[in-house]
Amino acid sequence: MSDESRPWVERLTHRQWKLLALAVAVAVVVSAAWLWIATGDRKVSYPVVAAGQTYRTPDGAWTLAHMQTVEALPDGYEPVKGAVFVIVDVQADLTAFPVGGFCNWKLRAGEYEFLSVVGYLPKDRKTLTTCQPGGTGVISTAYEVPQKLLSSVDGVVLATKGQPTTVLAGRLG
Amino acid sequence: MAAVGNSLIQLVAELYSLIRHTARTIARLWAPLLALMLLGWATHQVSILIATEVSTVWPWGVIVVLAVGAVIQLATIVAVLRLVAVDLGIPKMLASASLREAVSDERDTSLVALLTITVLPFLGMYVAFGYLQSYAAELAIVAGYRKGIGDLLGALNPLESSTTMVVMLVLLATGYLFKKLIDPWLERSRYPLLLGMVQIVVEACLALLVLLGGFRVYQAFDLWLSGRRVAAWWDQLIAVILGPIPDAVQELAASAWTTIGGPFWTLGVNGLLRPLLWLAMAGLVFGSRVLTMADLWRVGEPVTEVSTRRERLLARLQSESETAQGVRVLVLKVQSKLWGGVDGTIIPAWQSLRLVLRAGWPFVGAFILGFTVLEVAGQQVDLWIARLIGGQLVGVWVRLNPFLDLVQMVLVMGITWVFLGVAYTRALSIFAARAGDGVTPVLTPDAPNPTRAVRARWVPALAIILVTVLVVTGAAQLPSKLDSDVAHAGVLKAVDLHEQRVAAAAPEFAKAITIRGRTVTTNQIFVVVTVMVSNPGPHADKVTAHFVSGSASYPAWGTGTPVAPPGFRVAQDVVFEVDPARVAGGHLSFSAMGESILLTGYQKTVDIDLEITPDAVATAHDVLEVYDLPDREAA
Repeated sequence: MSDESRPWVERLTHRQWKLLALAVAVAVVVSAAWLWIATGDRKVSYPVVAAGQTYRTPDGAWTLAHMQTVEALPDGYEPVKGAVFVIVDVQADLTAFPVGGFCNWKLRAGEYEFLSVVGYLPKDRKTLTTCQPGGTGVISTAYEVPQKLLSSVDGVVLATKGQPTTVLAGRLG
Repeated sequence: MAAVGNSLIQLVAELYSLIRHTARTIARLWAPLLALMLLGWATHQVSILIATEVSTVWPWGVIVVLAVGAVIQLATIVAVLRLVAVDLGIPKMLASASLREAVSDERDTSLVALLTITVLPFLGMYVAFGYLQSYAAELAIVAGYRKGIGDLLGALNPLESSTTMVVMLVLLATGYLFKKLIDPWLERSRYPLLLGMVQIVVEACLALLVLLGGFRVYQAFDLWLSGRRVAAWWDQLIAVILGPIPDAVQELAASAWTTIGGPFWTLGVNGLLRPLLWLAMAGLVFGSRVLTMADLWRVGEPVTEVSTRRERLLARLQSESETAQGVRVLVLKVQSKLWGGVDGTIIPAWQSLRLVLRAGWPFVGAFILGFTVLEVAGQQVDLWIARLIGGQLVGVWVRLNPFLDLVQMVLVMGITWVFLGVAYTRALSIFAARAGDGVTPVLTPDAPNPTRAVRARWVPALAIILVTVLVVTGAAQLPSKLDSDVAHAGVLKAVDLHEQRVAAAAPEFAKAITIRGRTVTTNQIFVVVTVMVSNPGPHADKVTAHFVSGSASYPAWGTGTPVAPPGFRVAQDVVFEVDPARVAGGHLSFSAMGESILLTGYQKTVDIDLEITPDAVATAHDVLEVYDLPDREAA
């Protein structure tokens, strides 16, 4: 009797070890695929502009100038216990920046991201703290960061309208 | 009493026999069984993954993906049942009993033929007992977590827009016609296997379309109908009919239904009927010749006698088709096209159920007991594994779920399908033993076979029914899901809550509070607790606190529970407005929202005992100043 004319149940039991090996292989592949996909879930990955390089978009150009720590903000505001302020200066060319556009800044320290301090006023009052159409010069922002995370600070995250969120890489000076 | 004792002994003997034969069958067939169940599991996980990706691009595509996944999984189940049937010797037993020329059963030569007979009833069972809904719900949870909370079911809601309604109706009509039109081509096609599988997938798509969208049409119709005058007339008619019955009697009947009737209905359907229906479905896999043989073995009833209304109708149709002429031929052909599938699948399923019920109370009771124990054991294993892992945020459960499914879908369901196969074989063996025509039954218990059918003396039958119902009822009392993994602590003790730590100080009580210069009064009691939340990790998960006393739960008042930014710790006064009678003995309950606001799993909560004494309310301040701005420092 040829194999094809045998009942399929008989064929299945005749090849049971091959079937088991196949099933185990399929299960391992599916498990690996699931784990690979799942570990990437909800992890956001931004494009990174290397330290010292300029990030150019149709709306403007930004270069991370320097980052430094300070014990208190210019208006005397001190950080909470166990934290310091990090001042970030970004050289920006916003001549083409549109009305209604926006820039959101966050400081990145490894997996951590810190929002900028609301109400921060730089020592030089002419320094910008937000993206303004037609403005050119330094945009300065401040962040309150736990002292133990300072060594992980590796750049500033910039989100602008219509462009992918991008990291301007840099280290504390 | 002796009759009761004997019947219980038979019950135990049947159960032992079923368990023993199940274990032996698994020992013989573990390799192909494990292979088939693993393939079914893998198909399930892959279909969820693919459907998740498809759901954001083309929601209707989800139906096709789930249908293909469901069909492949059903194929593995059906293959397992057929494997068990052949291993136990059912085909040989039937061949020895056949009064007709032996015809090779197409269930043996073609897996597709087997599937075309079995997939619709199996799908019906899956829908009827919530398995397909669980499948769709699992997809909704995974898609909601991985892709953000979208509106998958809304996209498939035919009432969402007229376009969606039209698309659904067109799909339903096309699918139904396709199914009917493809039948004549199956045998003539050069690729019958492929065409057969396509037909099966179309049937599954139709079932899912009805499940995911069709019920909304029904809901809308029901809602529309409830607002029509005819609904009011119906209510008035019911009121007129019930009018002569005293209110006290009506209330007693309603109360009886709520406390006794309702639970018994649930017990009856889920605990008793469901296992029997699954066993009846297994009969479809074993073959329709089986049912014909069962008819032969019904002592004293000629096989040609039609005894049911449906059978009379079929017999009349058959004789009419042989003598019909003209338009009548066309009408009969259309009837055959419309109802042919039902005759080929639903009726054999019904006959299969009748066969099972006539196998005797010891067998029926033993089977239900075994099925219940298997199901409950599987559930409890799941719960214990979850307890071992401990409370986790929903993202962890989404990632672990496929591996937890291995226990249910491979181990528990694998044993269950073998048990079903053994049970059905035992039912047939009971008939073979009763027939006494020289057929050797393949499965015999250690105790003597029951010599009477279900129409046995009612006392032994009642004893078996009572024992079965008691066990099923007891099993239903076991927990079927976990609430939360609660960690207990006292005041000023910091406790981990997933990636954060929480603590609370001893509470204060006040009849009024002052917040930033504004005084707020209450006719209840303000409970003011200084809460500390520490978030050393990089995620900004929100923690919420409730004041819990007995069954009452009070959310935080005003600004709510403090939110600790990543890397920081905050402390803040949190205010709860509480019924004075519920203050004593209350505690704080903290929970974390994790990555998803709407999705939760078995996760950790922290209960902090505030050590509130019964005289606490008496010590309440008239006015208490509250600082609701968070006090922050690095974690």
